[in-house]
Amino acid sequence: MIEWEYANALALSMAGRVAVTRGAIDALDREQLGSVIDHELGHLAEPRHTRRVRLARLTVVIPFVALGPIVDTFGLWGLGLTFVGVILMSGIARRVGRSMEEHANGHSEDPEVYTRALEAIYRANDAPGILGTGVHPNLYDRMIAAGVTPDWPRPLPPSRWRPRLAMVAALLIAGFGIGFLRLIAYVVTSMAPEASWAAALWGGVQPG
Amino acid sequence: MADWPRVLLVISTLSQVFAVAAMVIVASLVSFAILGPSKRDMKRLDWPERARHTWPARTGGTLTMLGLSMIGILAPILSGPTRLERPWLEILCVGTGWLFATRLRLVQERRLQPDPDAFDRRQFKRGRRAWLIVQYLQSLVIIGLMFLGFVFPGLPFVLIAVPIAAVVVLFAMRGGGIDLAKKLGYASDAPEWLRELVQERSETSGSRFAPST
Repeated sequence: MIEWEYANALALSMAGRVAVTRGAIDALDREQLGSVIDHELGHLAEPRHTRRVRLARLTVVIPFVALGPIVDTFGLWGLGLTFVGVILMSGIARRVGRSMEEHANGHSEDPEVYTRALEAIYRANDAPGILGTGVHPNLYDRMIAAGVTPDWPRPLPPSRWRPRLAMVAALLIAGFGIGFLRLIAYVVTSMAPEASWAAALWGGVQPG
Repeated sequence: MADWPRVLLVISTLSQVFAVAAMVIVASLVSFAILGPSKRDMKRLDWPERARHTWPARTGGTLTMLGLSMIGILAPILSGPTRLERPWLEILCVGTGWLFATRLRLVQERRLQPDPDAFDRRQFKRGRRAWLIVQYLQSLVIIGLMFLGFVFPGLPFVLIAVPIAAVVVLFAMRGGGIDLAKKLGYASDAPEWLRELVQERSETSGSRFAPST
């Protein structure tokens, strides 16, 4: 049992273990918790090839520890290629994740109880009923498919541009700001390359 | 007599550190200002509507935390001295970005709560640590080693780091994250009734459940 107030559960299929958070125990009744455990046990019953994919998904990230030396050897091309690799891998991981979820969903004995449990989890976590992305299908659609009519209207999906805009703004400000610092150092040291203060401005390293 | 070139060197390097740290802090502030929360009074909203407004702020806040740490890696390369000459500069920039963004994320989380006064920062941080250890132990170690790869590049680093990463992945896959979380007090044995429930359900599902203490 994980000491986290966020309601969640997970299966460690390689170890044959299931963990639930304190938040899930607080948010769900016994029957609902049982249906969530059914789902997680479904992950433990995954076929061998799915477990192999899961294993491959975990081990494929190991070469990324060499990102620094890759950038040293191949420069920005190395960095770019690594990021392309990450994007491709995350696409594959999402697809595999969906098929794993579908397999685990088949293990829930009563879809109605399971979707009610999910509703309680989403409610406790302030998670949106319509997400539009990710491994799990939308809660609202899942409830309808299970024959449960939610007592709340179908919500609009959350904004997708806001987190992206915030991230891009942060990276642009930090990136351009730091690049501007480098430009100032370069211009000043070009004007007086012999002066000790110019070398100091460059951090003690003369520009090549 | 003062060694002026050395004094200037120290001053300029420190000023670069502060300038880079300031950039990271400004970037964090702008990012979190864009993220919101977009509605002022969360208490008045029903959960589906509240979730719609809080979700982008939460996911964006986490993305910003990670993104600004990445900028921390690139900062010393962009700002002048190369990482080989100033590894501590990179560590400082990553640290600044991470510390500031995590603090802002806490402030943001409090504002996203239906009742901000009831928000327990300590419990939130504890829960976040617990989940990171249980589910993302291997990712954390790999990201950490990736950072170190920028500070200590070269083949010797790769020869040490790759086996460490492989061992950690293996450890995490075998449930080492939960065992570690238990040792650190972030997880505990399931109560008897819960273990009985899991056992009961596993008998009907035909899964490979391995009961543990």
